[in-house]
Amino acid sequence: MENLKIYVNQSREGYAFSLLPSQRAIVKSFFGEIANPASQVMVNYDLKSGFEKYYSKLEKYILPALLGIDDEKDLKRIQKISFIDPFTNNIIDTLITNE
Amino acid sequence: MNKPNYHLYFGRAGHLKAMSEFLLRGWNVAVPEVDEGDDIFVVQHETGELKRVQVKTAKAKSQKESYAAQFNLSLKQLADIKKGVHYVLLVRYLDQWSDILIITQETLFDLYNNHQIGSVHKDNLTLRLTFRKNKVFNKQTDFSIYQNNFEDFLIT
Repeated sequence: MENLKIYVNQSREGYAFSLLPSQRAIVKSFFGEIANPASQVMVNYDLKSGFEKYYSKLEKYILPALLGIDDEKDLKRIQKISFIDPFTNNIIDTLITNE
Repeated sequence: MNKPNYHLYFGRAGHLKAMSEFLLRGWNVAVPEVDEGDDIFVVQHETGELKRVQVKTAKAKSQKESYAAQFNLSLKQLADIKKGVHYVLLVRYLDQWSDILIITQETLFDLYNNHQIGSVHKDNLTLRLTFRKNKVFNKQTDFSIYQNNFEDFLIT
């Protein structure tokens, strides 16, 4: 899969990472039964900042929860993941899984 | 009708019509005290499940072998997909409530992003729906599956 789009909203509590229906359908079609994509994963600010302080950027680690795929080899089949601001359609961040 | 602010009465009538449809299906309804973009809350008493609903009401105009209704949606609200709102689009045609479409915010946002539905002017998305022979379309996008789409509000 070339490019997966994940939309990122901010709220008072934290970040919401959303996978739109068309993207969920693409994930399901590409991965079949091994994938169980969710519509949204929410992470509060404290958790995100604490995680990134001790580990690394959170975005990579929410993928298993959002896509319902926990095998890293499978996740690497997605070449690029774009994190997009839904209000501006600007790409906030990009994750290249093979790096 | 030429009554001043009639559009407010019309919109409110739509809200009450939408609320009655949820009540008929066993969902309780509430109107928020402060308007922050959600028109009504619907809640399932037994489970406590709550859903946020945005009601849009439009008067349809006759066309050749069809009729069309136009809805104005805030793009800012539409893009705030974390909220998980259900949009209820109510159509009034020939003095009757003729159609009700229910579509989730994420689906509508997806259609806007990927199928270029509607037209954008400033911060609003104008969605013109054409009703013809039991089908509903905006441009080439078929909205028919969203007619009477209460599947997220079924009580088993």
